[in-house]
Amino acid sequence: MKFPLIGAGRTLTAALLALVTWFAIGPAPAGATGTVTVRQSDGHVDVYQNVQLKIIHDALFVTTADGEGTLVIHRAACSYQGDLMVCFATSATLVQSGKTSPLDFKRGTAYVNESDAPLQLTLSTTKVPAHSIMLTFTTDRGTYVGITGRFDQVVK
Amino acid sequence: MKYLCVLAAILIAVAPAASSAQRAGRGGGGARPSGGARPSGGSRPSGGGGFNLSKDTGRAPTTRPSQPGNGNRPGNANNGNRPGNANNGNRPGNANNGNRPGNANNNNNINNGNRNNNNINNGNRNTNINNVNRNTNINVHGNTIVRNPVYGGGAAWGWNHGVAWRPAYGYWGGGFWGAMAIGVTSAAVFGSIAYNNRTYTSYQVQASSPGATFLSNYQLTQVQCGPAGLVVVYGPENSVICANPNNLVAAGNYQLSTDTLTLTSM
Repeated sequence: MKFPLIGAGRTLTAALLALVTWFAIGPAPAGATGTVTVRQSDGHVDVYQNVQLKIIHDALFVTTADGEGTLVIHRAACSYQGDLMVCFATSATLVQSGKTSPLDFKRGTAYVNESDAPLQLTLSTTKVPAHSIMLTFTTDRGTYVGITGRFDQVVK
Repeated sequence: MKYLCVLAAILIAVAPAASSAQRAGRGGGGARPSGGARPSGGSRPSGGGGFNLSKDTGRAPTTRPSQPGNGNRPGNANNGNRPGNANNGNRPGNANNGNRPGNANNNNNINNGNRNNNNINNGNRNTNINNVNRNTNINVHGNTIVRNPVYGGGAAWGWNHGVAWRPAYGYWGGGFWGAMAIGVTSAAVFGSIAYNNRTYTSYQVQASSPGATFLSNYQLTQVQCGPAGLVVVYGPENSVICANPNNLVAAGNYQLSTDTLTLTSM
């Protein structure tokens, strides 16, 4: 015997739950253009594109395109070199799979361009595009992480 | 209700594609059943989405030693003191009151047989008023402040576009003098200052650092620490640099305030 109303109710409940989750987690915005390069000490390289970059106070939140992993990188000692803000990364934490795991962070530097024009790094030909960040850090185990891209959100 | 279910299903199906957020190495818009695309260049050992950094999450975060206040030396509770000073400015016994190594200022307080000398202010140029028991030294505003010639009249952090500068632990001087990680010996050593049986090594200030801004503001040129008659600047996180005196800054010991980049004689 079929109970169409009960079946419809289950379907509706599942759909609503999925909707709530979808809205709660939220996908990366359509314009997310960040790129994360992770090079392991053994030479293995992973490249993650279209990551979401958010600066919230003194932390940078880097979320993968599928929303399943977020790197939280704290910064300090921020000072301006002209219009370019240079910060030292002080720690990095991976929020993923329901766990918060601090990385064995070593050191890193972030270049933040909040202006409307590209800015050149001191003693370098590299330019940081407008409203973008360039950050690299290494871990004690020799992993290199490079992050570049335009901010999706900045909260000061 | 039927239409609502259909709408919900469409939204769920569309969500990954709408994000346009696919990793390299995958075709655009291709949603995976597991919800996670692989990064280009390799497979993930865990098989899940997100970042492949499992090798770097294997230990607890390093517990850093507690950091005293800005500019303090080990064992000091108060800002600007040197090792062994429990109280700001007061020195029990007053055997050699107020002077720092290489300090050009003279302290004439002999204090033979005195006790409980009360120095009101920490600093140089203590003037010996009495040389009797219970001698009281009233400091003649010995803490000379040399205002920053460029940002002296401005608000705090004016030198940094109004953004507060905070030290980054793990870097010499908190990173004020440049990106010199503690323990990394590649930075050029610029002499040292000995004080209280401890040696403070100085390093070359890096261009474009806040420290370079400070030196430029005062038109100071960094030199090797060690000889007498220098401008000795104590900066953040137990750092010290030296410079030749000039028409703006006389020889002596100074504490650097990072918010206004002003110098206060010690």
